[in-house]
Order: sequence, then C-alpha cells, then structure tokens
Amino acid sequence: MIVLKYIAFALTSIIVGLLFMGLGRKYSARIHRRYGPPFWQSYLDVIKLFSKTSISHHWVMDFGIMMGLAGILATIAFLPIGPFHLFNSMNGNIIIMLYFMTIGYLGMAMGVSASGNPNSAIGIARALTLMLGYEIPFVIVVISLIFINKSSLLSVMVANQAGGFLHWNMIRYPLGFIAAEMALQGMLGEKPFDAMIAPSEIASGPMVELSGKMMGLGFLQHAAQIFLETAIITSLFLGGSSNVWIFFLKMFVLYLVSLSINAVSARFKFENAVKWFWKWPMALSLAQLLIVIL
Amino acid sequence: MIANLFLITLITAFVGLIIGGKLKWLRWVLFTGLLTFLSIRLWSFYGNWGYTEVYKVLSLGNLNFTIHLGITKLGWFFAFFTTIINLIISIFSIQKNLREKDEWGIGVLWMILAGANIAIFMSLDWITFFIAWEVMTWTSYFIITPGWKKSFKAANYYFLLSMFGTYAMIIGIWWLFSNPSIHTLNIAQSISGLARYWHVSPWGAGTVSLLFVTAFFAKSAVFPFHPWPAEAHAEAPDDFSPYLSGIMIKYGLYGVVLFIVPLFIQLQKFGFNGATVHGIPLLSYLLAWVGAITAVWGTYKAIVSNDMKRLAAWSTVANIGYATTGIFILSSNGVTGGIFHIVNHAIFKSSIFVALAAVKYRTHERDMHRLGGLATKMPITFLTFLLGIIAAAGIPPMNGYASKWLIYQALLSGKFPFLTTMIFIASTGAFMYLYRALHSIFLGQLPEKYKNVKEVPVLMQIPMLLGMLLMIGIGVFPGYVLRPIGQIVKSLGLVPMHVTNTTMFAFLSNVNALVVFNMFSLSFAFAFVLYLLGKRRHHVEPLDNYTAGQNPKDFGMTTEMYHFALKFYEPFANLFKSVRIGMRYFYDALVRDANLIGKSFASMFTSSTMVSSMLFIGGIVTVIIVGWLL
Amino acid sequence: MVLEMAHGTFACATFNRDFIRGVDMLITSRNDLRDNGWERILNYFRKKSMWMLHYCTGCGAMELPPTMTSRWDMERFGIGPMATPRQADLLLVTGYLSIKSLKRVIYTYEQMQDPKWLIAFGSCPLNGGIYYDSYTVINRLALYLPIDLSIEGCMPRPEAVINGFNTLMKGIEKGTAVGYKKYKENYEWYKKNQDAILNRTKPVFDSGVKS
Repeated sequence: MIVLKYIAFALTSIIVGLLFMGLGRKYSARIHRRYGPPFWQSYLDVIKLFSKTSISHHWVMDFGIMMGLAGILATIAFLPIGPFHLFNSMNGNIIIMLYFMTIGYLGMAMGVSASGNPNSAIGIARALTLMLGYEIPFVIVVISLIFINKSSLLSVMVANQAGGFLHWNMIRYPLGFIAAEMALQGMLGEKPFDAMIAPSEIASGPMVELSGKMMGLGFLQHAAQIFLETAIITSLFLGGSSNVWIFFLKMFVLYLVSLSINAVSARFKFENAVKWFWKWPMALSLAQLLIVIL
Repeated sequence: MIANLFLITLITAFVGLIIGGKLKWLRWVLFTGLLTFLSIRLWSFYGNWGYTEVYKVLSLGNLNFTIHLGITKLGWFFAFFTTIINLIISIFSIQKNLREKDEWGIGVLWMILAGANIAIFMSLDWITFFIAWEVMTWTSYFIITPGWKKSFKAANYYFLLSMFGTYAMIIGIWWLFSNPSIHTLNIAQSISGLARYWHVSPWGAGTVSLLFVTAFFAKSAVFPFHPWPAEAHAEAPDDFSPYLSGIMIKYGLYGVVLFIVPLFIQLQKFGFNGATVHGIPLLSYLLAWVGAITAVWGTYKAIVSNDMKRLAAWSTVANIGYATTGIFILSSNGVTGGIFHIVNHAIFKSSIFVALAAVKYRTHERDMHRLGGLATKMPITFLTFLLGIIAAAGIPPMNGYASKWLIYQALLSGKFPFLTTMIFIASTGAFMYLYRALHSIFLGQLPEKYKNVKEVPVLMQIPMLLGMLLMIGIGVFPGYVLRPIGQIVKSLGLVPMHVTNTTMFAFLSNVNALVVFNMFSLSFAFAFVLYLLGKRRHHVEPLDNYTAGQNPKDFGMTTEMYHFALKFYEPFANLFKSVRIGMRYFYDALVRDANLIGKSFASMFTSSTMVSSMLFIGGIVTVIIVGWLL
Repeated sequence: MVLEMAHGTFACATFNRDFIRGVDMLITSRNDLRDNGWERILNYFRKKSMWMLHYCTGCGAMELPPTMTSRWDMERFGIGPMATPRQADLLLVTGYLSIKSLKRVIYTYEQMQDPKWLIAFGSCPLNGGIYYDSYTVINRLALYLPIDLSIEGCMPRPEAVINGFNTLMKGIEKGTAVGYKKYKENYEWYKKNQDAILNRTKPVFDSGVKS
C-alpha cells in the first residue's frame, strides 16, 4: 500500500514538475513576445531523451545520476502534497528534507564529475559555492518559523496558517518571505543565479556530458526539484492548502514569479552572487529572526 | 580484573618488542590478537557497574598515592567502542606494515597506547587519569614521528600544545586537592565538591573548570588549539591517522563529558546564582559558541586545503566542533547527540582515513590534484570513501545524520537560533569540501601513471567493508547505540531520550531511520526502472569528451591536464581575501614582536657572563625573599 | 526555396574519383534503412523535440539568432539550441567548411548520440559556394558525412531554415531520415574519404606540442 502511494507521489511530482516547466517555457516566451512551444513540450523532450542512445564514461556516472533522481524523489515522500501525505509522524519534517535533498545534489555531482569533463566539475564547484550562499538565509528563515510553530513539521506549520489569507506567514512574516523567495531563485538555478549552467561559458556545466537517458533522468530530477522547492515554500509561507489543485496553483505562482525575474535578468558572477546572498537575504532573514525571538 | 588487561598489554608489547627479522609480520598479528582479546574482555565487563579496584602505590607522610580503577557506564562505553574501532584499523595495519621500515617502534608503542586508552576510560581518580593521559600523549608523540624530519616538526607542534593542556590539567588537579573545602582526588567527589564551591566563589571555581576545559580542548583541538590536527594527522603514519583522528581526538571530549558536563548539570539542578542564557550557565553557553566557531573555522580550512589528509583532518576539527556544541547545550538531546556524534565520527572518519591510506598505499601521493579517476581501479575504496562522506555530510541513510539531527533538535528546542545557523553553515560547507575530495581523488580523469593501479589487498579491504557495514547499520538502527548512551545520560543526571531500535523521538519531531532508508531504496529502485526503460548506453573512453570539437589527443592533451582539481574553490577563497590578508599581517606582526622580545631576553643571558650571572643571583634572592614572606 | 532530401539519392561514383579508390559505397535502398514499428512511434517525439548544435563555421550562423528569437521563434516547433554534441539531435553546418574545421565537424558528429541528423546549411557545404576553387575549403560535405537535409541559399533566410526544419520533421516521421544508419553502414567509405582529405592538413611547422 505504502509502495503504491509512494509511486503515486513520485509520478505526481514528476508529471506536475514537467507541466510547470512546459507552462513556464510558454510564459517566458510570451514575455519575450514569442509564440513559444506547446505546454506539453517537456513531456515530448523527456520521451525523446529516453529514446536516444547514451554514453557513460564510468559506472559511477550511471549510479550517480540514478542516485540524484532517487534523492529528490525520496525527499518528496516526506512532503505533504495538499491533503495527502505518506507518514504521519514525519509529515514534512523540514530538517530531514533539507538534508535529504543534498543526496540528490551529491548524486548528480558525483555522476557528472565521473564523466571527467572539467566543465562539469567547474559547474558543480560553482553550484556548491552558490548553495552555501542561498542555504544560509533560507535556513535562518526556516529556524525562525520552527521557533514560531514549535515544530519542524510542515504539516503543523500549514495547520497554523489556517483561516484565510491574513494568517499566511507571507503576510505575518514578510521579511522572511522575501528572503526565502530570493533563496528560491538560487535554489531553482534561475537567472541571475545560473552561473553553474552558463551554456555559453562552460557549455552547460554539469550537463556537459549527459546524453540520452542520462539527460532524461537529469531532466526528471530538475522537474521534481522544481516541484519540491516550490512546495516547501508554499507550505512554509503560502498556507499550503487542503485542496490539491489550489496547492499546485500556489506553487505555480511561485514558479512564475521566479521565471519572471529570470526572463529579464542577466547572469551574476557566482562569487558576487554569494556575496549578494550574504548581504541582502541574510540581512532580511536575520531581521526576521530578531523580530521573532525578541 | 581490569589491571590484568594492562598486564597482558604490557606482556604483549614486550613480545612485540623482541620479535624481529622475518617474523615481524607477527607483531601486527599479535596487535590484532591483543585488541580482539581486549574487546572480548571488555564485552564481558558489561553490567558490572560500580566495580572498583584499588592499588596502593606509595605513601609519603600522610599522602597516599593510590590507583583507582573501575567500570562506569560512560567509561565502559567509550573503552569498548574505541577498542572495537582500533581492532578494525589494526587489520589494515597488518598488510600496510609488511614492507614498512620504521614500523618496529610504532607497533610496540601502539600496543601500549591501546592499554592507556582503556586506562583513561577506567580510571576513577585524577592521578590515574593523569598518568594514563601522559602515557597516551608520549606514546602517540613517538608514533607520529618515527624518525622522519617532516613529521618531527608536526609531532613537536602537537606535543607542545598537548603539554600546554597537561600543565593546565595538573594545576587544576593540584588546586582541587589543595583546596580545603574540596580536598579530593576522586573524580566523582571532586565534581560535587567543585559544584558546592561554586556557590562560595564562582570566579575561583570557574577558573579551575576552565583549566580543565583548556586541557581537554587542547587534546580535542577545539578553537584556540585547532591547528594541530592538520599538522599531526597529516604527517602521522597512514594507518595511525585513522586512530588519531577517530579516537585520540575524542579523549578531550570524554574528559568534558566526564567532568565538566556533570558539574554544569549539578549547578543547573541545585540552583545557579550566576548568569544563565536560556537556562544554561553562561560559561557553558560560551563554550558551546567556541564549538560552533571551531566547526565553521575547520570547515573553511578544509575547503581551501589541497592535501587530502589535511582536508580530512580539518574536517575532524569541524566535527569535533559540532559535538562540543551539542554537549555544552546540556540538554538530554544535546549530550546524547554529542556523544552519539563522537561515536559516529569515530566510525566514519576512521573509514575515510583508511580509504585515504589505501589510496596512498597504491599511489604514494597526497596532493589531491595529482590523483583522479581512481574509482574504476579501486571500487571498494571508492565505496568506502563515498559512504564515509555521505555520513560526514550528515545525509540521511548513514550514521552521521542521526547524531547531527539530534544536535539540531537540542539547539532548536533550547532556542539557540544563532548556534543552529553556525552549525548549518559548517554542515553545508562540509558538503563542499567532501565533494571536492571525492571528485579530485576518485572521479574525473585517471592520470596516465596510475593506469596499472590495482585495488588494495583483501586484508585492507576487510576493515573498509566492516566500516561500511557499521555506517549503514548504525544509520538504519540508531537505537542500538542510543540506548547505551541513554544510560550514560541517565547516570549524568538527565532524562534519557526515548528511542526504539529505529526511531528517535525528540521535542520537535521524530525520525524513523528505517523508513528513511526504505524510502531511499524505493526511490533508487524507481530511478533504476526508469534507467532500464531508456535505450542502451555504451561505454566510452575518459578522454572522449566534449572539447569543443577538438580531439584532445591532437593537441597533446593528457588526462592529467584535463582533470580539474587544483584551486577548486579559489573564487570562494578569494571572497575572504581581505580578511585573510589582514589576519596574515596580524600574525606576522605577532611573530615579529615575539621574536624581538625573545631575542632581547636571550641577549641578556648570552651577551656577557656578568649580566647573566647577576640575573641568576637576583632570581635566587627573589625566590628566597618571596618564600620568607609567604 | 529548393530543398533537397539528400539521403540515399546522390550518386557518388563520378565525383572526386581519386578519393574513393578501392572502396565502393554500398547503395542501400531507403526502405531497408527505414525505421519501423516501435521506432516510428518514438519518431513522433523525436521530430517534435529537436535540439540542435550549430557549428558556426561561416556566415550562416548569422541567420540563426533571428530564427531562434522573437521574430521567427523556432522554439514553437520544439527546436532549441544546445551547448554540447552529447545533448544534441541536429548538427547544423552553417556555411563553408575549411579542411581543418571538417576534422572538428567529424569529431563532433561522431560524439552525437543516435538518432542524429546533419543539416548542410547554405550553398557552401553543397558545392563550395563562392569558395568553390579554394584550396582550403571542401566543396562537398556529403562525401565525408551523411547529410540528411540541405538548405540552399547564400544565405538562406530564416523562413527557409524553418521550412527546412519542417521538411526534416516530415522525413523523421516517415522514418526516412536515417543518415546516421547510412554512416554506420558505409563507414569504411566515409572514413577513406575523410582520411584522404585530412592528410592534407598535416601541420606545416612543428608547434612543439607532442601529439
């Protein structure tokens, strides 16, 4: 039973994540005044990728890329998706989730650096440095929310925001919300924080040697990651929802905000991005924390 | 019963001393045998809590020097797990020392060290503790430097810092004994005595506890003493580094749990009239901050280091920082988490160091940028290292996660937001340097000269396999370790946390480690099915890479050149350039001034016989006058 | 716009006879190489999502930015630029190919994963264009790599490019755009041609780098 439920969770996250990507591409195209691809384009891309042959330099590459997807999907097992959840006692345990996500990053990093291309290693080095930048403000925000709710469960935080728009943490703790939103931009790797991908500079960084189904698995990981990260912010600040469709809608709105910034920004040098993260979101999150504990 | 262990250890060491020539491999087999015997004996001690042995050594007037040995829950636990880990490492040493030249002294001293290790954990009074501590310091000093110039410098550095700590400790012990209201050498009595004295004179008692803290922190490389592991762990013999980093660095924290933590807990319980922060004494809070600073500083140094053993040593410093912070929170979760992290760190860090020793055994190389791509050649070593870094980064299915999670629970439920943030910074940074090590050593391009490297022999693989088993086992079933720790926590006077074999219950949330593990396996199976659905993959050569259309062989590109590993995080390090330069000026100025003062002192004694003899006479006169006045 | 589906249709025996001494090209009928069954279903997805790598050798590259961006927007057909050959399905050779860059094109093409398509863009890869008599430029790309589609013009406008992509899509759907299979089958023939021409690019002076 729990296995079937888990598979439903995993498939939902992938399908919804891919849908978001497709809709997002259409949205960006409209900002650019283009027609844009159909919204189901991401599904076509994934199936095409799985229908191509692929190369691997090393068994670690295959292993790492599977581990990357597995890490994100395993995190989703602990995520409350609207009214649904897998485990009662660990329903959205944010500390587990923050750590479990890293196994996804580690898997991906291991897989791509096994390919032996220096571009991929440079990309990962940038991504990890950037991670040190955005994780810290984000974690400070999470800590202040844990203090407020006296629990590290997302489900409890969602329950505490019940009762309409004005009870959302977004309204009650606006500084923290802005800091988290800035961190989300870095987490999703959208511009101006996409120095780790940088196609024209380091040939798409981590993905440089991925082909066929390896790329396909990476694509799925990215889709699941979009789903996971927007869902976490939705539960933390936008009051979650007991209706799964409204929940998805809130997540999508967050994603669109991120894409809107992406569509009109240029790329930050990643050292500057780290500095920026340690300046503005950090200041906002610390201010929020001080407001909470004083 | 306990003394017999030391007798047998000494006899074995003596046998090891006289073995030589062709039979020298026997010395290391003997070492493994000794450790097996010790582990079995220690296992049989389980449950004899409160058992003591007293030996009268000598009496001077009304001073009786006695040796008190006994089995406490805390001591037994530490003695048992350190001996087991030492046993695992010793299997590696058998193979490693077959062709070593200078292993004669190492083997014998290490046997004595294994005995001193147990003596530290079994001693009940300060004199015994101090003797065992000294034996441990001296033997380890000679093991680190078996006659090599480079390691001699490192060992001296280590030894000086240890000496500093030892002096602090002996002053503290003398003070405890000479103070009329405490006047005891027994450890348990001195705790309650000092706690009572705290109400009389907080500053005096605080200073004494700080003396002990200095001694313990010097051994454990906590903040002001943090640089020694990077020197000593890196230069020590490769098979001794796991022991040094896994076990020896924990003695300080053992001392903290033995003496300082019960002291603070007693203060907390029987009303504390000093300053408190969130319910814990101010001193304890400050020491928790020292731990957090150690964690962050160790992480930063690990990120910017290029030598693989140095990187692992800095990582040890960072992990000691976590444990220190957890322990000084003084809550049940914190102390449990701290002790649990000590155990976990001992397991994963000795596995990591064993894997690094295996790499060095085959390649004789320590600089990470000269290695690369070894995962194909040494799969077992690679897997050990991989699981080790997953555990060290605190990622769920491995053991490091459980203890870090407990420390977080303690920090969050005790309302320490800034400490939590510091620990989190260190933890995210840990991911950076661990990945860097994994990439530079095992992934990327395999240098041409290591084309024929083979996996290490079976005898070296056994400890790695055991290490992996322990890491996964404790990660999935933390309850088996947490229950004995719960007993220790109870004996310290705290309420032990509620655990089952797989689930940890805490104030904020619970974690079922088995479910976490199953979820990961399930997800991996899911990803694997997707992988199988895709079209066939084929293998290509490492140099068949995207190079913007240029065939790398055409322009003389070699695998060494195509491996990105040197200055991996240089842009990150450059972020702190201004701070670093400022620090360097400060240290340079410090060294210059110290040298100047030292030189002027030296010149007083060396410039002329007149001046130096007058100084000598003046000194003696001063001593005599001061002696009369007092 | 004249668009030529080049696979299997051109004869090779008469042109540049001295390159192909000894080995004859196997002329396989299109039907033998054609995709069938399950592959035809997958071909639907392949044609809807083509990621391209444009090899910017010449002036043709200039025509691609307007094709990609707001004015003509080729993303509406699911076509997008990619950074490396590993990820790409389409290889665009945009303009004249000097002999030195031919070597890189071949290396790139071989790094791409099946199924893959090669588009010769502009006149130069077809017949040399204005460089027809240059000693450093090859005249016919089809001798060295299997071209799936040629887009004529000097340069073809974005409309022509998009029209070309659509033609290729039709071919993919029918399962007839199988240049990569032809390359595998006639590898010996192509290799011989390639070697013959690439031997002319031996370095003139020794740069000191050992290869």
